[in-house]
Amino acid sequence: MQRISHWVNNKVVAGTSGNVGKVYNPATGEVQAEVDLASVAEVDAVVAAAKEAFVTWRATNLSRRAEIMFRMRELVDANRKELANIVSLEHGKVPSDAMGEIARGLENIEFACGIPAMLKGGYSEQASGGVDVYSIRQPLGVVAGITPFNFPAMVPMWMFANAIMCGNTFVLKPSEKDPSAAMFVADLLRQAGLPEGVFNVLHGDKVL
Amino acid sequence: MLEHKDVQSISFVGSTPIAKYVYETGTKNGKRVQALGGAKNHMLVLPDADLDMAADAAVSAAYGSAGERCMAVSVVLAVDSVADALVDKLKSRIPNIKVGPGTDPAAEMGPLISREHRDKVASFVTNANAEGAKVVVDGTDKAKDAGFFLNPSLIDNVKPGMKCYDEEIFGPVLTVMRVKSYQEGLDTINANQFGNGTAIFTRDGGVARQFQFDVQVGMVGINVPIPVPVSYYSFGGWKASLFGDQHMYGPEGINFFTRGKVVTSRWPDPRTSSVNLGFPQNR
Repeated sequence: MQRISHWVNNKVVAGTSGNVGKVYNPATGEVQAEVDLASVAEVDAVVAAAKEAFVTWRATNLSRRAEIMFRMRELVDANRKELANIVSLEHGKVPSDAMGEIARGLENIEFACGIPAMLKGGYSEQASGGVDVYSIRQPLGVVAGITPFNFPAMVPMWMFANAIMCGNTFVLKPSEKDPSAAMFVADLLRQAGLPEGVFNVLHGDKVL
Repeated sequence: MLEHKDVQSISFVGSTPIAKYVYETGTKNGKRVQALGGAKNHMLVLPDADLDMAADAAVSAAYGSAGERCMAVSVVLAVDSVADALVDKLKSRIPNIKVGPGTDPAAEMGPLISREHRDKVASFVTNANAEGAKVVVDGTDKAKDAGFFLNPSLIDNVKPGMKCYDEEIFGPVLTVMRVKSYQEGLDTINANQFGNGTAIFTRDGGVARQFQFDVQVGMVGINVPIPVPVSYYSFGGWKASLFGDQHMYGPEGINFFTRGKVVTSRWPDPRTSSVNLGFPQNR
């Protein structure tokens, strides 16, 4: 039986809680995989990894961040069919429909490639005598995304593309019913050059 | 995760009861939260619309992805004078939809996500006649399969107060509610608890513009059945479809994932320095 585990620091990490969920093939009604379900202690560990990664990631040049997201754009584009098949096999939607969600998710990755322009602040020279006032936008830190079963590839892209480009580190809890698309995307981000701990996936149920 | 002190924000997409819980729990713990919930998306078809185009759009938007989309069309509001003709056109398209597994290249609509969900969706259809609606196409025969399939269903004459209208079905079930006029259609949409997406089908630009002005919904399609915004705008509904202040992705996504900081700076000549207890003024 295929086992789907967590993704922390750019590696697959086996669960330690002892709890697993069943992943069905909805077209046959059969169980096709098991997914590790995280405990609260595992949440602590992944948030700690993301918090540590935040220190250097938020200090990473905007150009370097954008370069990684441009590479991610190329990787998703080159792997559309494989990702669509993963979505289809666990969610049940037909591959042509899954290709549509990937195309719409890709738009969000493309938008995030423009991050240097979007994080520009404002500047008021001589607001008072010899006084200048300006605004900047800074990342929040560790941010979390909880995504539904119906768009296992697109909805995470709605969230993580902008979140990590703004300098945050990300913990994704995808739907435990179709968790493989998130794992595939996580590996593409690693291939794109995203540093360890910036994007993490933790599977779980309501405990999280 | 909702209570962890080092998690700064939560982005959530799911059902309305859980979205509300995530919003309340996350914000109580000091987090920034955007929590997107359920939907009941109405498509208003006016008498001047091209009915074949409207029927194609409604069928595509209702049954695509087996209706498991928060932007799926789940209610067609048909103005009385064209309602019979529109229902006939919807009905005639349904037998052509090829239901099957994703491994079949000809399949257009796959199964639902789980057995429990399939059975729940089927129950809306099974109970509709008893609620006073009229099941025109019953797709629940497919519910006997080992896979979690349903065929498309069509229910006419639905009204507020019926379960198949009041609740989000999230399956391949299209309902039709008949309305007397544009105004009754608009009022129906605005009275609904959800405000995620909506669409109007018409050839009258002035009416479409008035609809855009009046409708209390976050994402509006004009002759577009699934108006998911492009990535440089932001996605989000109104009312019970979204808890939080920022919509998702696009410019609002950038705002959500950053905090503003304002710096006031000066580099004065120390010789001009003095003590002044008054509140700093700029003039």
